[in-house]
Amino acid sequence: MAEIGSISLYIALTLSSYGLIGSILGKFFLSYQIQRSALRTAYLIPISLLISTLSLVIAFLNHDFRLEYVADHSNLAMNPIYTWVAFYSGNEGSLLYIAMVLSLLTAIAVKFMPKSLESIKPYTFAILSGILTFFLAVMTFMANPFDTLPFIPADGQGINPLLTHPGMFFHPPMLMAGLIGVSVPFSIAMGMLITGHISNNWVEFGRVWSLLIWATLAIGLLLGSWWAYTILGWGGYWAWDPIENVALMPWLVLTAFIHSIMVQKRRGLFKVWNIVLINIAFTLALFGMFINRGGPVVSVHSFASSALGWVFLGFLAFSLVFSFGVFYLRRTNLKGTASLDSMLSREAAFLANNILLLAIAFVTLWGVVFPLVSEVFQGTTVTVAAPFYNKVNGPLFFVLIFLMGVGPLIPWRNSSWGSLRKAIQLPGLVATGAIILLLLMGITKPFAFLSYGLCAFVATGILREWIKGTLSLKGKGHNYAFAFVKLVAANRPRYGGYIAHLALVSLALGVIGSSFYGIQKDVILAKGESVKVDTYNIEYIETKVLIKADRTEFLNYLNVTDDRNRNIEMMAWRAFYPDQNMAATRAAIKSTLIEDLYIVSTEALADGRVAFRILVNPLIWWMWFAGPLLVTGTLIALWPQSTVAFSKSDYPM
Amino acid sequence: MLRLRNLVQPIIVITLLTSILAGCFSSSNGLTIEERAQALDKQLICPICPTETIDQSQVQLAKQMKNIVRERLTGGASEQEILDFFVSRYGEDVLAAPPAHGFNLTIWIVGALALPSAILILILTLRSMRRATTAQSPSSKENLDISDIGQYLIQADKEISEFLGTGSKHEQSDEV
Repeated sequence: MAEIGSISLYIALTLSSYGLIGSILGKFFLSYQIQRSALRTAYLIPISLLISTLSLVIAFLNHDFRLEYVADHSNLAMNPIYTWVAFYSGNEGSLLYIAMVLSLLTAIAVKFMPKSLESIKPYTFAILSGILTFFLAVMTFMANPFDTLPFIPADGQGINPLLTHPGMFFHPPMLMAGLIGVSVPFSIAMGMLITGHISNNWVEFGRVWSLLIWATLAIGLLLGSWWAYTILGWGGYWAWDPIENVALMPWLVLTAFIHSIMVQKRRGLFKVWNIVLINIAFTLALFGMFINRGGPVVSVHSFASSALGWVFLGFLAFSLVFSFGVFYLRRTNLKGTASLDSMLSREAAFLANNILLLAIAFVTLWGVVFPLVSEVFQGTTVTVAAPFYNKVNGPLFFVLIFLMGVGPLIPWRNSSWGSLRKAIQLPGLVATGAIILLLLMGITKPFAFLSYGLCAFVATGILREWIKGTLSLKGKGHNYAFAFVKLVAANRPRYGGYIAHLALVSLALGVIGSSFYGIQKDVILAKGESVKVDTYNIEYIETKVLIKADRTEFLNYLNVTDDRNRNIEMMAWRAFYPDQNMAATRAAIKSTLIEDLYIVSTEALADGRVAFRILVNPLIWWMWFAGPLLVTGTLIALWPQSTVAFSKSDYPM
Repeated sequence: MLRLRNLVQPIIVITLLTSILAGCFSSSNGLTIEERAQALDKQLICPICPTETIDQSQVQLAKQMKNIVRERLTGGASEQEILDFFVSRYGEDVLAAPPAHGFNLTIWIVGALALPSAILILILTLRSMRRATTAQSPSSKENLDISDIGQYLIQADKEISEFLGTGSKHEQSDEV
């Protein structure tokens, strides 16, 4: 079975090389036949990669330890459902996963490319084939998942216990899919740049793709945070770890892109800027995959480190030279109509948002590479972790939320200070009210109450738009629900965007609450002993020990009484894996809309006592709530509009 | 003149915001030993588990370091003295963020300049875009976008038919 997978991997590589070379030759010899036949590989490669994928999955299920990859990443005791996770827990498997996703996305992109983009299709396809060929070549020659061992081990090494968590089923695949997915809008923009016809035709297609990828990355990041929160046992969800940062950076640039592409869609501005943005996003996504697959930056997440770094670095350099080279050669075609009617317009606000998001991405990148810079220039390594990013990015995010509140209140084209002042009056009042209320409640840390004030400002602005719109439609004889649906349907990108904004407000509530008002206590408890944390009285009852095939589990039972004398039983799980000499934990979490009570067992002492870390984290629930909200917003923004509605609503001038 | 006045208000607002933010990061007094210790835990990297602070890490060494932090704070040592002690023992990379002196100052300077330079770039870009607009006569400006797309479509259609070797008309962009 493994042989079939290996062979079909070679077939995929051959096909994708043909896709690349054929598209170029076809253009060179002006042969439409060659080009069309090259294009057909787009539909064949996913099939052959699917066969490879399936055969690796079967090898995992059959415990085929002849394969080095299977022997390294699973064992007999592993629950078969974790095959899915084991599949991409190392370099080889994740490269196969990335290649498969890219081939699928390429097929979809080629299939659904609109007629108006027909002329750039061969170029877009050639670039996508080039990227795919790179990944397939690296996999085939340097990190082949079907490499066999000279002997057959009796049992495998087993999966990293930290990975056996539901979050791991979706977090890595979504992040990897998101990172590689940036290739699609990038290739569309580059294809257009190569043909030299710089138009607005790619805007809608590019917007749909980048929104999908943006949401995928966002959910991937959130799931990663959730995983860290429930399993890593320190009570946090985001550590500004290099691996987290390199996934965040392309997301930030994509966030800028999905805003500025709206300016091109609505007003025809920012043509060049959008191409630059998608180039940066793609470069950062490649950088992300490079760091992920064994780059020079150490990280807690680098379960998979290897010597692939240099190859990726070379490809990164090549793609940079390629994309900015094409950009340079086409600079004369890029003379845009940079017409801005007013400094105070939605366009200007979008530009501000773009520059700010790029600034955050840049500072984050600077933090990620600074240890290398320091090593080169002063010969010593330094660590750049949370304290740096919190100090530097904190204020930038603060201003970003401010812009999120003001931007939507400014109309397109032109506005006046008078009308803006009128528009911010109500949100401003609500925000001031919220701040006074917070101060009375004892929220006196300036960053916290100011940020919450801003959150109130943003939310009020959005809700007022909705209420106003609904009421005016209701006036036309509809009921409330219908009027609201009609309002949202009338301008989906806009109202979908508002929901995404609310999602970010929700995220901010959780982040600010837990970082400024989280309570943390490390305690050691004997049986029957109890401790008071905030309003909770926590009593350690007993520990049950379960011996499993690959681990020993400790179930620590606690009895929690809150200030209203309600009792609940909580269980903080801890296990020791002797094969890996590793411990893993699952926090016991009691989550409400107000706060999380979080208990994790950090150590079992020799005298029978148990060490616990207990946290009271305010408003964390709202962080996770941001996920479904964000998906809803993205889906609404993406929902296709009929052509008639499209032309009517998009050119209101 | 009018534009200059338009600039004044955002500058005031932005300066206000930046100064408020700067104020937010000044440390406050009146914390308990444990609160100060937890803040220190988050600034110290566990030397044997890269990228994890001693607050996050669960290895024995991190626990010992946490104990040292608490002992020294109780003994009256200042935050800086404790950080210095760990630096002398494990080197500068035990700190979760580089100290702001010498070469390492550059990381902080770049970080601090991010917001002001973003604002500067924004203002300069907006001004140059405005200048480009006012240079165009208002009547031609309205037609520019449309004629651009029109020209493009004619050219694109021509090239596509050349490329396909057919004279077939193609669906036009929905942008018009």
